[in-house]
Amino acid sequence: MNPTAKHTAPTPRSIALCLLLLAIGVTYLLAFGYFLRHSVNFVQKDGIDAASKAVAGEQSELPVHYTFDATSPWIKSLAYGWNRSESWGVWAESSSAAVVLPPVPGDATQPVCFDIRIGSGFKRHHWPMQITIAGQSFGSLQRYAGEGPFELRGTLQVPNGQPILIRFNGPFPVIPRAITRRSMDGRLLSFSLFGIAITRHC
Amino acid sequence: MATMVMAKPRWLSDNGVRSAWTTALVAFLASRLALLLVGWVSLTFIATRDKAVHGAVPTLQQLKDLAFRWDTTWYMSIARHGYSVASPAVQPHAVNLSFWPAFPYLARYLGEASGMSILTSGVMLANLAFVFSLYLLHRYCTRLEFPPTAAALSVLLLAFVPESFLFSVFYGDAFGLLGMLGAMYCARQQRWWIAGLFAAFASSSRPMGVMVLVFLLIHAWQQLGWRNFMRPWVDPHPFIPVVLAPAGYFLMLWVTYRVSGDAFAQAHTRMAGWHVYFAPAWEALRTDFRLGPDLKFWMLSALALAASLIPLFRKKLYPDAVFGLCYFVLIFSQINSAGLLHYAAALPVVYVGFAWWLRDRELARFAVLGVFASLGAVLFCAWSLYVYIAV
Repeated sequence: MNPTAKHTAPTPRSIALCLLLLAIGVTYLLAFGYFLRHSVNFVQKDGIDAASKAVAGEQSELPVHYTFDATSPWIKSLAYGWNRSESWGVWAESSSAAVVLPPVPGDATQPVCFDIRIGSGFKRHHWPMQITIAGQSFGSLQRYAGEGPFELRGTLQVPNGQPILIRFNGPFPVIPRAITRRSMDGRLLSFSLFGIAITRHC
Repeated sequence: MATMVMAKPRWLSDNGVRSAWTTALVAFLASRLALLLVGWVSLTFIATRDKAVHGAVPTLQQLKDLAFRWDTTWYMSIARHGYSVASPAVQPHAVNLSFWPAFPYLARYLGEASGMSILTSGVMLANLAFVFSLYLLHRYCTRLEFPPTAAALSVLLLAFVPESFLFSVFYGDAFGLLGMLGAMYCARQQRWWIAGLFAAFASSSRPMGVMVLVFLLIHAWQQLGWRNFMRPWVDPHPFIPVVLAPAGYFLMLWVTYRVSGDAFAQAHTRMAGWHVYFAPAWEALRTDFRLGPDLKFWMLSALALAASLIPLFRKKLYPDAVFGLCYFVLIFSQINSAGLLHYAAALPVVYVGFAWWLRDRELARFAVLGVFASLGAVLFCAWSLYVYIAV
C-alpha cells in the first residue's frame, strides 16, 4: 500500500472532477436499468414471430392433440429453445423454451383444458418446471423427481382467435456425455416435451 | 566555440525505451517469421495430403489468406455491412453481435481512408497493436522493477504463446491486449486520463476487456489508501480510468440494443448460436473436463497459464493477481467454450507472472519458451489447414 494522495482537503477542482465521474457512473446505471427494462431477447422474439406466422392460418377443432416428433407437422410450433425433434418428441436445449399453438376455436369466455406431457430423461431429483400459457401461470412452480413422463393438467381461459404462446421454464441443461459414460450425446438437454392436448373439459 | 546540441527524441535518448522497442520488434519479427514459415510448410507439404485445402506451393495470396480463417468472417461482416441479426443457415441464431466493434470499424475506416482492402488494413492494425503491446509489456515489467532479462522474457513469452497468431490475423484480440496493457501501464504511471482511454478501448475491443476494471479499482485503492478511497472527492484522479473503463462495454450494449432491440444480444447469441453456457466455474470445469479431449485440452492449457497468478500473489502484485483471478474465474465459467486458451493468452498479467517466476530459472525459461513455441507451431499448422481445433 503506497497512498500518494497529496491533499487531505478537497479542492473545488477535485470536487468538480468527482462530480463529473459520478455523473458518468450514474449514466451507466441509468442506461443499464433502461436496457434491462426494455430489452427483449432477440432469439426468443424471432422464434416466437416465426412460429406465430407459421401457425397463423391453422384451424383446429377441439379436442386436439399436438405432438412434436420428427414426423409431426407441428414442429413449426417450436418457437425457441429446442433441439431437433426425435421419434418420440423433442428435447429442450436450454431451461427456457416455448411453443406457439394455433388459436383455440369457439367461445373465449369458456376455459379449456390443457394436458401437457413433459419428462426429464435423467434420474434427477427435484427438477423444477414452471409453465405459462398466454401470459397466465399454469399452476405454481412444480418440482419433479425422476425421468417421467409427467402429465400437467389444468383449465385456463385463453384469448380467442390468437395463437397461444406456451413458455416453459425448466431445469438447467446438462450434457449427457459430461455426466455419464453410457451416453455419447454432446447436446445440451434440459427437459423433454412429448405432446400437448387441448380439450373442452378436463 | 559554441556547439549546437540537438535534443534527441525520447525513444532514442532513453535506454529503457530503446531497449523495450528493440526487444519488442525483435520478438515480433522472429515470432511472425516463424509462424509464416509454419504456415508455408503446412500449405506446401501437409496440405498435399488433403487436396481440398491447397495441394501445391502456396501463392502469395494464399499466404496472405492465412490471416483470414474462422471468426474472421464475422469481423469482416461487421466491417463490410455493419451489425445485423442475420445468421447463417448452418449456425442458426449465431449473429455478428457477438463480436466487439473497435477492431472491425477501425479496419474499415483505415481501408476507406487509405484505399487498402479491409483485410489488409485490419491485419496491419492488428499487428501494429501487437507490436505496441509487446513494447508496453516490456515497459510495464521495467516499471515493476523486474530485472531486464525478466522484462525481455515477458515479451518473448507473449510473442510465442500458443495461439499468439491470433494477435496478427483479422481478429480483435490485439486491440483488447493493447487496451488492457495500456491501461495498466498508464495507471502505474499515474497518467489517469490516458489509462482511462486505453481501458475504454479495451472494453470496446473484446468482451473481456472490461475486466481491466478490476485492476484499476485495486490500483486506485493502493494509491489512495482506505481513507481516501472512501472519500473520492479528496483525490478523484485514480478513479478516472475506473469510470472510463466500462465505456466501451456500454457502447456495445447501446449498439446491440439499436440493432436488435436486445442490449444483451451478445450473451443470447453465444448461448443460442454457439451453445456456450455459463455456470459456476467449478461446475463448468467439471463439465468441460468430461466433454471430450478437445475441451479437456483447452481447459488444461488455460489452467497452465492460470498458474502464472501464483507468483503474482507471492510478489504481492495484488492489482495484477486479482485481475487475473477474476478474469480466469469468468472464462472458466463457460461451458462448451473452445476459446479458453485463446482468452487466457490475451491476458497480459499471465506474462508478468511467468516472467517473474522464471527470472532466475534459466532451464525452466527455455523449457517454457520451447513448449510455447512448439504448441504454437502445431496450432498454427492446424489454423493454416482449417483444422477445427484452431478456433
